[in-house]
Amino acid sequence: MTVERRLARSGFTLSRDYPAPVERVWNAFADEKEKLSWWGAGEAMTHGEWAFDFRVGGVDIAEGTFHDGPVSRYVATYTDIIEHDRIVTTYDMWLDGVHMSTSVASFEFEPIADGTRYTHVEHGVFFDQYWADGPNREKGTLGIIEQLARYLS
Amino acid sequence: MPRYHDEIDAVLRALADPTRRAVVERLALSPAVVSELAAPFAMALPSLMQHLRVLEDAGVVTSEKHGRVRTVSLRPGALDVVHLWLSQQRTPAEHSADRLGIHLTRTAPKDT
Repeated sequence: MTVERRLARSGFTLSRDYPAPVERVWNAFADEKEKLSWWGAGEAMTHGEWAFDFRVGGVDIAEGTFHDGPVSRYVATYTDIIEHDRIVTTYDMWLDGVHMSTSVASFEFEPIADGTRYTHVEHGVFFDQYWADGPNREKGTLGIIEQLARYLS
Repeated sequence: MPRYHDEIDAVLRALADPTRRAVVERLALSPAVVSELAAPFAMALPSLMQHLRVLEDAGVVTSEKHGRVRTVSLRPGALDVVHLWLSQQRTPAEHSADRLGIHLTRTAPKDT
């Protein structure tokens, strides 16, 4: 089967206000134990390889399997870190070994009256088969429905 | 998969009508008899019964007849399928920000 070569470009800005001081939000990124407890897709994910090296030039790796779905692999390099202010990374995603995307992500932390304004901005290019995760995603959704049904029964 | 989507279609179609949503909102407070449900609406009883049938066919409400009185209840969990569907329609970044928020709440110092 030949792969149709194509690129999709995409970007987004996501902003959230958290009722926690900047130091605490920052530590959720800067402290490995903290980051492990929330980063990624959560309990539904079986964790694989993990690396954490929070410094400019340092590389993070997070691999995981969603139910019996595909293995996702995230590899990021920190390009800029200003304490309590911003974190910038470039990162790549693979799905079952197929290169999905290359992105630039920035995370900004701004003190506000009752906590922290967190702003996540990304720009990425998505390769060729990125849309092929459709059926697997459906499988993942079904898995959750079944789990919910078990939980409710 | 199709069954799950059929269920969402039925529930969303049932909720697409303002009268039926008003009935759901009323029933969220407590079960009610049909005459009670009909009172706030300027429509004939048969029309309301038709709305109730759509809600019942979609599994949103259940009804029981005791003597000549029909009592209608919201079926617990009936809207979970919509809730679940909505929660799936979120980007990885949104999921991540949600999980960060939960983490911050869970680890918040007790005295704040």
